[in-house]
Amino acid sequence: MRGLSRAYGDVLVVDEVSFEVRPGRLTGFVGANGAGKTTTMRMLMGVLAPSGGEVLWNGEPITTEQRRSFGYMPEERGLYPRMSLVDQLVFLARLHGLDKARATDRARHLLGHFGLEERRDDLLDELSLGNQQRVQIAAALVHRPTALVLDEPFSGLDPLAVDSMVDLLHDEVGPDVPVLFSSHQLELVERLCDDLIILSEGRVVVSGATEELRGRGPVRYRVVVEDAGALDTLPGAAVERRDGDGAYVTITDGEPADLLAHLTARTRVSEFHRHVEPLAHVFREATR
Amino acid sequence: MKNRNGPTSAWRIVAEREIRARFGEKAFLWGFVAMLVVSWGGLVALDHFEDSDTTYEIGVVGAPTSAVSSVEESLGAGYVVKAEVYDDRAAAEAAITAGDLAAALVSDGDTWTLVGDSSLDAPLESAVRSSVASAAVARNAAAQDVDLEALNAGADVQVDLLDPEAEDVGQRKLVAFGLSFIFYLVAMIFGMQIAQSVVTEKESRVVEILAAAIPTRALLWGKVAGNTLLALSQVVILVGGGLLIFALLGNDTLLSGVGPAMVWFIAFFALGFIALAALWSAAGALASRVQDVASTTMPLQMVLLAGYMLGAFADGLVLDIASQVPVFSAIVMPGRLAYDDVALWEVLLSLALNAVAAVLLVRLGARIYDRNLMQTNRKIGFREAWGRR
Repeated sequence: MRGLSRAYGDVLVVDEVSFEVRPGRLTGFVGANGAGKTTTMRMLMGVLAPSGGEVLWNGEPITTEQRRSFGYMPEERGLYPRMSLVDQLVFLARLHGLDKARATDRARHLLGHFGLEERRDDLLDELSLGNQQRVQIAAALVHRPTALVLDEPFSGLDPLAVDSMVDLLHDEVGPDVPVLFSSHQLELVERLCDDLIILSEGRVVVSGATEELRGRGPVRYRVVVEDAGALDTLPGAAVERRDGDGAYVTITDGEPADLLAHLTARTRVSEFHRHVEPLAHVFREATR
Repeated sequence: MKNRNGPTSAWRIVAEREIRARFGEKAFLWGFVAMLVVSWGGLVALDHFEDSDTTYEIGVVGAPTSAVSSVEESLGAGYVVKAEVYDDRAAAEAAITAGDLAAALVSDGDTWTLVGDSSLDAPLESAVRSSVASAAVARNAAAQDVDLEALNAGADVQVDLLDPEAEDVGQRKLVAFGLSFIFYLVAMIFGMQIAQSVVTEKESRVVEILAAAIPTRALLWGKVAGNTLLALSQVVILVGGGLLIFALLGNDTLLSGVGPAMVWFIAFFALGFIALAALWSAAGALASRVQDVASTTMPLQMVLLAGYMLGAFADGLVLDIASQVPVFSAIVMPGRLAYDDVALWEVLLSLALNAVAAVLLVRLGARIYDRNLMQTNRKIGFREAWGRR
């Protein structure tokens, strides 16, 4: 998407947001509450008209027909409360362009996957909340979407349910399908995502591959030694934080091997490894 | 990917869901059955009241029963007179007091007495008088050797009725009243249904998924098409069944009197319903919870009620005007056709005005619907609804 903006009255909620969701990549969309994540996703899905900018698909402005094949799980969950599970999924699959037979096959398959095969003729509001959430995911996947937009898909799920949903996404989403999901659970995004976009006050402040972003910070090492006095002076390195016998050290000059050699010559070293800052750090830096 | 065996157009899938959802509701099915029973039952009753003859049971004492059949003849169409022979006057009087007889005709050969309880029906009394009198005159004429035909020459009065069917105007007005009521009821039921269906999608938030999958216009057309089809089918079944009932009962007067009006009714209903259909959707889109629908649909409910009232109670100039003002006229005109003389051009003009109004009102409704559908947080006023972008 390129230069997407949305204003409510005079307030610019999303300000020229541009980013790319690549095929086969799981892209995390992170930001504080009110940063504009949901507004951006709604514009992406065509539910909300942008005040400016456009959504592109393979480099071209997206068509209604292309968008019809996307899968979407809105922030505010919702399906027909008084409609049976299978009718519900078949209806949505047909709206997304599947014919009736294929829609029915897919609906049964997904319900089977969730162990809801037996209950396929039950009404949605007879299900537990956890099962309703499963049907909601099934609704986004039922038409084999060409792209997936999930707004806070894991909110309210326990860790086990999160894992099973991630497994489902791996099983049911084709290898070339781009997936964008928003979350405020950084730990989850860090664990799952290939790419990361951080939104703050309606602007993209960080975007890139998760690995790369983590590596972008200064190269730090975690060192734990027997004699803490050995940490007082280090050649070509600066001590960031000390805690008893340990410290976080940034190498300013030379190789890690040199530093290790320096230390082992003076004391017993019980720990020496590269320390990667969690994304929370990146997030705090970016949104400060 | 579009091909001939490919996906069905979105609006048709939506319409199909609307219809299936209605058939899943017991209240919908029973409501329709109740409507059929009441309206068809009403027509059968109407036919029964029109057909039933007035029956008099007359006691006969000392007179031939042929006297009674000449009374029946003299009463004319619509009356049946049954004769019951009694041995003496006392027995006949007892039967009158008990309410078994309307009257008794007592004769001793020369004089005739008509015995009643507290009063006698005027037609019966005059029929007895005239049949006894004409029998006596005939008898006397024969005795005096007088030519009865010559005697009676010029005494007959021929009756010419200018509007012989005016007799059933009362019944036709009842049919007109019934048609207006059916219009009001069916349009209200399915109009509210459209509004409810829209607001249910808003309240359950499923509208966001729908709007992402298909254009909101397809959602609107699907709803309008599905519910119009259902409403129209109900009306066709009600009216078609009514005509069939008249035909089966052999009631040709009512069939020819109100039959054309009932067929026009279907055309007017279709246009009148479609004219309001998109506005019902708009009213649903203005609400955010099912409870709000009652107030956002109020103006539409008022329009239907006003049309119904005009159809039922207006006459003269007001009626002429009401049968040309679109939407109201869709209710008023077919009812009027059932009992009033309306020129064909008036009917066609009214129909055309309704068609124009339908086009304009559907566009207005669609515009309000589009602008407010995604506003799921609160109820929206009409002024705001119009200006929103």
